[in-house]
Amino acid sequence: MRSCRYITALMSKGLDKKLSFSERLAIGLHVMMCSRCRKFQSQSQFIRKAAHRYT
Amino acid sequence: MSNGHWNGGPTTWNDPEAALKQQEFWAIYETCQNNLPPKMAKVFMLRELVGLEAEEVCRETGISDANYWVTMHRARLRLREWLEIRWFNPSKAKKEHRHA
Repeated sequence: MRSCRYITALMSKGLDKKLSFSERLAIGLHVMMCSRCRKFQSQSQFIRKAAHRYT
Repeated sequence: MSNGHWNGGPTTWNDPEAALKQQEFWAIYETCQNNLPPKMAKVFMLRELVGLEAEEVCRETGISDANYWVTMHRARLRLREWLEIRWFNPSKAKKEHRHA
C-alpha cells in the first residue's frame, strides 16, 4: 500500500489535471482501506468549493 | 504527516455545506487563506480564485511544474488542517495540545 503522503499528493494533483489509469487505481485501492485519506479527498474538494465561493 | 502517514489526520467534518452559509466560517476561511506563506498563497489563489490552469499559474509565477504540484498540495494540507482546528473540530486541537 502506498503512503498516505503519496496518495494525498496524487489526489491534490487530480484536482488540477486528469490522472492516469494507474494513478486513479492506486487512489481507489488506498481509500478502500484508509478512511483518513478518504476524508482528505472529500475535504480537499470542499476547500476548492469554498475558494470558488469566496470570490 | 510523519513517515508518509497521517499523524492524527482528518476527522469527520460535520455538515460542511452548512458552513458555507455562515458568516463566521468565511471570516475563519479568510484568516486561514491569508496565513499561507505569500508565494503559496499566490499560487493557490491564482489557481482556485482566479481560475487559471496549472500551466498558466506556472508561467505567471515562474515556478516549475514540480514545484507547482508540491505547493498546491501543501496549501491544501494546511488549509484543511487549519479549517479543521479552527472551525470543524476545535476540540481536537485542544486535545492534541494537551498531549503534546
